[in-house]
Amino acid sequence: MSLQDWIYRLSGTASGRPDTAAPGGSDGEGSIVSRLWGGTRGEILPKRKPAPPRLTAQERELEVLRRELRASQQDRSRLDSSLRMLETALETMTMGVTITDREGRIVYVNPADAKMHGYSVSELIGREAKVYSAATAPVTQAAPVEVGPPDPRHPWSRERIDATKDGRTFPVRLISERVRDGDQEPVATVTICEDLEERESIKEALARRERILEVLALAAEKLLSDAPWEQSVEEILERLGRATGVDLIYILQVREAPAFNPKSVILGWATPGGAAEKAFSEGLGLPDREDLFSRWHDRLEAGEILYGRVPDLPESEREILRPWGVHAFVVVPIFVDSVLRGFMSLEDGNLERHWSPTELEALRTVCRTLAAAIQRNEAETALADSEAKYRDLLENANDLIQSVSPDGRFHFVNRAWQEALGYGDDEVPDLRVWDVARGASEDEGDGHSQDTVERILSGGGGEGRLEAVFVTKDGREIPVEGSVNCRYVDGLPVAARGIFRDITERKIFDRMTQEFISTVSHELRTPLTSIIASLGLLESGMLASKPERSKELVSVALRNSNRLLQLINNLLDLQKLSARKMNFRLQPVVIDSLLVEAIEDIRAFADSYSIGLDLADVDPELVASGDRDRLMQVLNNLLSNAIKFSPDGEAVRVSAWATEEHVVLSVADRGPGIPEEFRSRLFDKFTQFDSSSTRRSGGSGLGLSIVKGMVEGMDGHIELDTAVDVGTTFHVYLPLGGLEPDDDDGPVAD
Amino acid sequence: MTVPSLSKILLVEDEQDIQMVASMALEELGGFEVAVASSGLEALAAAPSFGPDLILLDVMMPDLDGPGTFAALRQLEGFPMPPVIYMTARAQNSEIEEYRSSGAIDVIVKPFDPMTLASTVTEIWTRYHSS
Repeated sequence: MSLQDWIYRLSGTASGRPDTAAPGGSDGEGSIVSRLWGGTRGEILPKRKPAPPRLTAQERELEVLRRELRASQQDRSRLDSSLRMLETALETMTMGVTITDREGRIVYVNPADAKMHGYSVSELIGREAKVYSAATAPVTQAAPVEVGPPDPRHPWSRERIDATKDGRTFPVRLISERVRDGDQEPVATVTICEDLEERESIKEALARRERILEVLALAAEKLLSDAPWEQSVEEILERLGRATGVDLIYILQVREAPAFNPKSVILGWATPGGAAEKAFSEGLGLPDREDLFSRWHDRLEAGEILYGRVPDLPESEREILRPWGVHAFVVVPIFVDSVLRGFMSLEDGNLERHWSPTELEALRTVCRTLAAAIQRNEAETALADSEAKYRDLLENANDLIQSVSPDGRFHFVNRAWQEALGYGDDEVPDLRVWDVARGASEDEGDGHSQDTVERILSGGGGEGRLEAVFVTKDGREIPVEGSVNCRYVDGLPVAARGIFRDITERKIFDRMTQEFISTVSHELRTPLTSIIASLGLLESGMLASKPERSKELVSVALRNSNRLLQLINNLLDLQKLSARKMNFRLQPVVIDSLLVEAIEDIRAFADSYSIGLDLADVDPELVASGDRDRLMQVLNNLLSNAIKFSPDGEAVRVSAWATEEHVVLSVADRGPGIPEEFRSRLFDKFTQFDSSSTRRSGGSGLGLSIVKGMVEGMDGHIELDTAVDVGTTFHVYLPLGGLEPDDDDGPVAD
Repeated sequence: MTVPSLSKILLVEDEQDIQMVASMALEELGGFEVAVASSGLEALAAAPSFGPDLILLDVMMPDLDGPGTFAALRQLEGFPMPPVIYMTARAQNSEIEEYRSSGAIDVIVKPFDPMTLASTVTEIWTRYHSS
């Protein structure tokens, strides 16, 4: 029986035609049937107009009947379409609907109701509604459908435990309404049945979704805060884990796309004390898991959320998940800039764990938030890295780097700056640039740096290279060279940046070079003066009558030419030594004869200074290894120095002896000694203890530099023993030589 | 303004060879009367008795250098300080400026041309007294 047929039967029109009389229920307005008719019966029927008076009574009767028939047909047609709509609704709705007759037999049941109880529709028609009652359910809750409240004029509702055909019980909520005939006698009961269990699970899913969304709100807040990224994520995962009630939740963030690999970062949370927590904290089988997720990679990359029950997975995949005690899972991909960068996995020990679409979508939203945070975190990390890199570069630069604000305070100074100037971190903020810097030339005054900063910051130029002087905390001055430029923000100057290099060394070098050039120039010009003057006088012929004077002038020219040659040789030697291009012919050298010869060579020079030369007794067997010619040069230099610095009438003492490893040659004078501050620079080239104009003549400042270079070139070294006002002794240490001097060329060393 | 005559020159120079050629040039070509001192101290000793019109003073000398000698001569009591011309082989511009500003009337750079030394000295002398 179709619902339509049944409704017609219910209204007492067994022929299938609705009763012309209204059902007349006082509650007609509220009844389902009357609602289907579009209101009360009277409203549906057309108004009956009085018959025209010209008709006979019979004709009028006939006319009335005809009209009623027409109206009835229209009613029937409207009713049919309403019923079809109702039937469609009943057949497709998810709630169960049953209609029972006076005896409690089911006359209509919709598919949802039948399915809910595990029957087919045809199985139920004609059976008593009691068929739904659960045998085990308490009697009070299993009240029969047909027993309503004492005066059930209105729909009533109640809850009940129903049983399915195969005996499973489940809670239902029922809403029933009596259908009455024209005499107000109940003819049927319509009952709407809702599966509470299903509703509960949906409600629960909705609640979980709510909780997920609450976590999402927290996540957004946390991830935008300055809290450390990992800490925030772990807190979010814990909250999400508790909100969804899973046993394990974690994210795997891939550091280097595309594969899940050991560079992945895993953050997560597990129900405390559970198997999953243990497995997770121990990282048990993580590589296998990464392998598993790699298999799922393509699907995740396609944006799919993977979820299901572990038992439904292939054996190989089940194996991987088994140690973690997981039976249900959901894996949500995480995309950053459209690249799959990881996933969030929620896993549960409950096999029947259900994931509703709304939950899944909420989880996807959480993952999008995480992705945004990952992106932000990475950008910040990259920025911090690059900042750290530049800061490191600035901090560790050897140059002095500073940034000065318009009020002269330092925005920034680097470590080299602080070390050079001696100011600590706590002192720099109180400094102004004019406390520590001034212009390179003294007449520019102390205000120079202030002027410079102001000029630069007012756009008045002054940027570029400059020399300046920094004054250290303890008052020392450091010459610097560097460049300054202006930093603008929004077109306004905000800082004068400077990078400077300590040019103390260069200044010293410059001065030394200057002195050297000046000295060499003087040393060249002095003999040249004699040469040019004497040759000029000779050339003029004015001395033709004075041959004695002419001869003197020739001697002057010759002597000074030799002196010039000596100087030039010295310069060339020095050049060779510093370029390491001087060759030494190392051979055994008998020291006794060497010293005798050196002393004879210099005797005339010593005599001119009235200085004596004392040679101590030297072991005639004493032999050193060296280049004899170079050793003669060394001795000549040392002796002439000693002679020049000896007071008149004193003697220079020369001696030699052997130690275990060396032959020592010693040249001692009783001169003024060498001041402490000059000793360290004594052997430097270009250096003279006294570069003033009162220094002893004949010194280019090259001698000792050449001596040292030569001695070292012969694998020896030179030491100094000096005391002011007592005298100076140079000790030349040479390697012990062979037993016999060898006429053949010895080995050549450079 | 009349230029006083220049006849007596004290040459202070530690290099004996330069002493010889310079004094020869001044005597033979300029007709000056030249006295030679080999050091600043010798100059201090010789100057008052010699009474030079002009001093040619070497800058670089041991013990007492040119400027030191200059200052010491000025301090000599009863010695009318004559004009001084420095003679130097330190010929960089900065050095020459330094000597000029130290009170000398001029600087002659070594090496000098022996044939014109006397006339150069005369020119300096004349210019000094004309200005």
